[in-house]
Amino acid sequence: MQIFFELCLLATILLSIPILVMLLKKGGFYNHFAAILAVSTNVTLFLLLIGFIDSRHDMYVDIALSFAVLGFVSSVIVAKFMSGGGDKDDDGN
Amino acid sequence: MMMEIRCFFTVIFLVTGLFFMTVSTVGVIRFPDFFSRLHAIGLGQSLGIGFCCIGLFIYQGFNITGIKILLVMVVSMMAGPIGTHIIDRVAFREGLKKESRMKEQKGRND
Repeated sequence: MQIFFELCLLATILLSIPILVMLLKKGGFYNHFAAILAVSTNVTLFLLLIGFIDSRHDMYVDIALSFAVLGFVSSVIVAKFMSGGGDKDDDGN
Repeated sequence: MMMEIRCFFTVIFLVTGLFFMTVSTVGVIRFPDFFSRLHAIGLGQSLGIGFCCIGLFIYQGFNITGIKILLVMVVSMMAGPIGTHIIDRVAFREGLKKESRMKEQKGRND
């Protein structure tokens, strides 16, 4: 199973590269931030797989859990910042 | 014997998860504008990491680390759609138009 996990790790890396290249090449804040969203999910899986390859699952699962939560919190914070710092209500007034 | 069955299902779920992540990556590259690209990210990535976490949970077994892997799955499957929806709404409010519709309208006006 060790080799299979390493192949999955390689596949995850190969899946991240085109997303990064394509979205960073397109430019603009929104495309950059979409790239961060996409790659943060890949990095969460990346951490889990490294834990299984390194056979220190418990440590890496904790890191992946905190990374997943931080990925979500960062998207909320940036969205609030982009929409005028949250002084508008839901209807944008 | 039990370990073989467990490895079999782990492989099935991990390959399915990676398939959905590949579909999401192709969607990000091929879709025409920002909103549809974010749609591909929100759905494909969440489903992909969901399947992968189930596979790793089967391999790990029902112990504290396994439950944490399920927790990672729950957080990731919530974070994807909610995060992309928030960014979609901000982008739409800030006036980011759908590119494909702009091209169709331009064709009709000429």
